[in-house]
Amino acid sequence: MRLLVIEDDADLGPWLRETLEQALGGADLVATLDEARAALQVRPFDLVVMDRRMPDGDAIDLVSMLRRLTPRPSILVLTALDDPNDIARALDAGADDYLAKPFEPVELIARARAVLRRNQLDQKGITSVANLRFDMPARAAYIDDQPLVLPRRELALLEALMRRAGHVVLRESLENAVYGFDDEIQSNAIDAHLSRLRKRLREHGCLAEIKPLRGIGYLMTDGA
Amino acid sequence: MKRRSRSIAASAAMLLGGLISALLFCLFMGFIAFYGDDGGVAQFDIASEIRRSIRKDASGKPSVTPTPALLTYQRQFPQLWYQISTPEGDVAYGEVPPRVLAGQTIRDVPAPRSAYRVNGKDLTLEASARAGDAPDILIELGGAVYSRTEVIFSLLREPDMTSTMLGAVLLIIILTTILVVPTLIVRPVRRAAAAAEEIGAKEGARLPVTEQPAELRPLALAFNRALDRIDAATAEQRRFLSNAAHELRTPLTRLRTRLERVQDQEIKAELVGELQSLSGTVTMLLQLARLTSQPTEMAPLDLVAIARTAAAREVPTALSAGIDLEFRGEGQVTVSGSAQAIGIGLSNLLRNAIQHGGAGGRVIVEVAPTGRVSVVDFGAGIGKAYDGRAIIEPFARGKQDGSGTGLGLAIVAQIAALHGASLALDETPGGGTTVSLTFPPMAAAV
Repeated sequence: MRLLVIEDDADLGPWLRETLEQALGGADLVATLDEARAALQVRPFDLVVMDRRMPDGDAIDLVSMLRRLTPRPSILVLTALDDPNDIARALDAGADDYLAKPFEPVELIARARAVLRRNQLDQKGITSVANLRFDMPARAAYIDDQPLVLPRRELALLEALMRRAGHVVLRESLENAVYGFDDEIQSNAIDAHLSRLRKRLREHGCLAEIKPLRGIGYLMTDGA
Repeated sequence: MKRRSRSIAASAAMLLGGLISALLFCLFMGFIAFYGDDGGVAQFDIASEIRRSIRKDASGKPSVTPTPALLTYQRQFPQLWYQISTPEGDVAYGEVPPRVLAGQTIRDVPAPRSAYRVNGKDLTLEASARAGDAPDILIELGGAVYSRTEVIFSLLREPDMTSTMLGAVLLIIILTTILVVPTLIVRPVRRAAAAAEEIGAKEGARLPVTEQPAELRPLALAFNRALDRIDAATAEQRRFLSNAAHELRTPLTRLRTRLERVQDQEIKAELVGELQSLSGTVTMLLQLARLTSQPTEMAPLDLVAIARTAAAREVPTALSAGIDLEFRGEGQVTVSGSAQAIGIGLSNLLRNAIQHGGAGGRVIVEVAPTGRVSVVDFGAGIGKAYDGRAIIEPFARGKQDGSGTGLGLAIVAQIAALHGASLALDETPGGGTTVSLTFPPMAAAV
């Protein structure tokens, strides 16, 4: 795992590198866009954490270049500008997520993990939460690397939840994921499938947990 | 003193109609005055009066009892003479020229003279007075000619066919002007207004100037300049806010990183808490500034979807505080508003509920079909310290323990005001606080 931190602040830069290094692995720090471009040509990175206002321009300009790289690094934008329009611009440009300053170290690590996980999902089709792993192309789930056999609908539910692990999946999204156009949906069928799925995961020693949220949907968490 | 603004188009139409009619009227009268009277007009008027004055006795012999009008004519024209001939006898007034008595035709006479045959109520002008035989009643008269002014007055007093038609034409012209001119004047104004309406909240859009009629061009230019100023002010405000955000947040972030080096865990936790509270205040102040300074774009939205999304967004906060977040709401509830602003408002309410009402262990977001969204907690409630509006004021807090920023509800109140929605704080039955936003029905929405 290799990370690139683009940050010109003398305090924040080293701290970011240190914090990320402790949690995720080796990190490099650059203080200008030029240095960032040079660094990106030397070696591939898994994650780029960038502040927007750099001495030589807006770091958003780098995003389109980053997106053309293979393998494509995940992009996490740090921004002091929490104007919804600014955030939308960052996400539209192709950033994976943004984090408003100031932030807690735990939040930074969690967001970094989440974008890495999503990128891995996009590129390899594999995502994992705690000891639960889901292989999208193979449509197979593993707990502690042991394959888990699930009925069709429970597998579809797990897939939908794993795709958006760490985020709330709205009930209607789950219904769309599980049922085709022709299927007749019974209002509480989803809940029945989910309670069976949760029970099965518990029985197989799964540490990840599906949290039900009444009226909202379900959330896949690492159980911590 | 308030001046009533009348429709320009109506005034213009009235003025134009009046002017055209006055012009035509003067033209016609001038035309009549120019040709004047060769005796025919005056003598026709007098002959009409004479006919009314004729009386016949039992033997059919005519006599004249002058009407007041005839008496006036007799005074007006001293030269006036007339002779009434019937088979039963003749009556005469004034100096009847010898030629008339001699029975010569009226064309022979140099002086103006007319002869009218009476047919019931009508008078028929005779070319030759004595031509034909056995006239019923024949009125011959002369010695009266109108002056130019008198001709006009005579016509006005007793309009003939021509003047009646002229009157009708004038009426038609006035009506047409009044009906057509306003449309002609108003149409470009309406078109410009529609174009202005279309601009709406579109940034950078301007009223087309070259398409406007010359009179509206200054207005369109002024309108566009006003838009320029508004856009510039909005852009300036946005720049200011993002600079303020940057200048406030960057040192806060730096401070946060330095706090990591504090060795004493107890002091560190306390400082981090203070810093988080300060950061929260900064975020909310910026939100409040943005809401008050920037126009909110209104669109029809589904309140159920927005509230559910807002609830989903706050789930991690709720879970880390050990609170069950629940959503209640069915189908679609359409209101007019800004999804972004309502989302921010609901997030603030939810965070308030989680932070201050968390003791109840659960928080409910509920959307009623009437356009009301409520955030219900089962905590300690806001107590009696704050009644009515006071708690909505910026920096007001329910508890004096220093927690919270005191800005959340001020932001929600601002958002409610933007949407014409009402904000209500009530006690949850059984304890706790219920905050509700009630949006106006779609049709009445601002």
